[in-house]
Amino acid sequence: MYWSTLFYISYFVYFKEFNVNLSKMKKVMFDAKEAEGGIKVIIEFYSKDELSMALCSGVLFTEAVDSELPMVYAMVRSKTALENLSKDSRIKTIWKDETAYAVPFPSCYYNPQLNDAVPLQGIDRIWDEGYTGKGIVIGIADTGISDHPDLVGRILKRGNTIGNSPDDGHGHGTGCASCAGGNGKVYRGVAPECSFISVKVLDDNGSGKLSSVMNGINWFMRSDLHHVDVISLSVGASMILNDGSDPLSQTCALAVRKGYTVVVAAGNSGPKVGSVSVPGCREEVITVGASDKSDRLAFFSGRGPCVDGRIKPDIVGVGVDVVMARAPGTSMGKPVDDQYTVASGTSFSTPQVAGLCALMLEKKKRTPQQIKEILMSTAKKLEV
Amino acid sequence: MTEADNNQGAGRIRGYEAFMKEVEQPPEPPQPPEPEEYLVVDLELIIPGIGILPIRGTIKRDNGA
Repeated sequence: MYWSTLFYISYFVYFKEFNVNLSKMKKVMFDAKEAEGGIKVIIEFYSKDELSMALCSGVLFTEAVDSELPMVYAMVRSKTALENLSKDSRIKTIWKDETAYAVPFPSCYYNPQLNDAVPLQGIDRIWDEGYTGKGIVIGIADTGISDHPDLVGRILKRGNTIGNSPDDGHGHGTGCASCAGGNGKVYRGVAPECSFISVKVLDDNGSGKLSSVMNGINWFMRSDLHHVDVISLSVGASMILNDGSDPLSQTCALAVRKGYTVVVAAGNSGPKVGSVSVPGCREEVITVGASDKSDRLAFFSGRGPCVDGRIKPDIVGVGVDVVMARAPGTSMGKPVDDQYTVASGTSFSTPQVAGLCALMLEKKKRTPQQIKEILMSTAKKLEV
Repeated sequence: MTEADNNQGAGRIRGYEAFMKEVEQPPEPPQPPEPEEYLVVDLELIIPGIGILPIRGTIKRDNGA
């Protein structure tokens, strides 16, 4: 009795903090008023068997999600159509296809000691053992990856689920890739001989949709097309509930079940309590916050707990004043020169952890659960 | 659950320590028992005019069968 009371109290507190305006319609996980004029939604069915393309009048088009999850994307014409849809007994939940963002934060201290994040985290000692990520493929789902001298020849494939080109016109994805595995002489990523598969899921403004990110993760899982070992996702969305039940979080969990190590940014909405974004809130993924080079927690780093009380993030990595590759013609962060820029955010601690996962996998095959357990059990607790 | 847990989880990664750590392999699952070499067989011997006589016996398993 006591615990359930406590749970409901905490639930209420977090709902209040998120300023939730849930629909009164059962199953609809957003304010139904938004459906006036049309809205793209993600419909979750109870099972794949019940998945129906012919839903009801007022639904303009549907497209099955390319995964084992019983979901479809649909365009709903009006609030009335949404109401009709919500009465369908086959449907479990209706989600808005929310906007997802790249999660960089402007460099806050501008203390570019540049390449000291790697030795601080003990990565150079791994290189001394002869491990550099060779033969391991990191999937970067972001704004794309552009050609850069520190990445040249190691981008095996580039796809896009948004826009017409896989090129990075923003800079975030290229920066993330270099944090994971850039091989510059001075500014070197964690796994400098890994390979990459890139999928552009965010546009050149650094934003996309849950659906574009889900499609990117599902593309990584197309084992008939390519092989990916680690998925790095420096993308977040603010959902009404960060309990991990949303479609993107479910997609990430599916990837973990299939054996992919999925590393996700905690988001930069700290220091507010309960500010870990979607899909970093999902239990199965490795959720990464940010610290600075003096081992202090970054104020912006997303904080737990999740709305259902689980602790997140799982670990933190250096994410303040990180120097990374600068995509040609972009100005994300604070450019150091033509080739490099400096920026902060859990976006950039995340690919470093993905790089570390690559080094661990190069040494020995491990399950995503084992990798997570090792990272957490060997981490250093920081002063609060 | 403390504030620190919710801010940083387990803490800041230590790459080399994580890299060097060996995970304990789960113990081998127990093997299913070998099939018995002998099978116990229950038979019923029907003797006209007397009745049914239950008989229990063993026969050796023929793996090639």
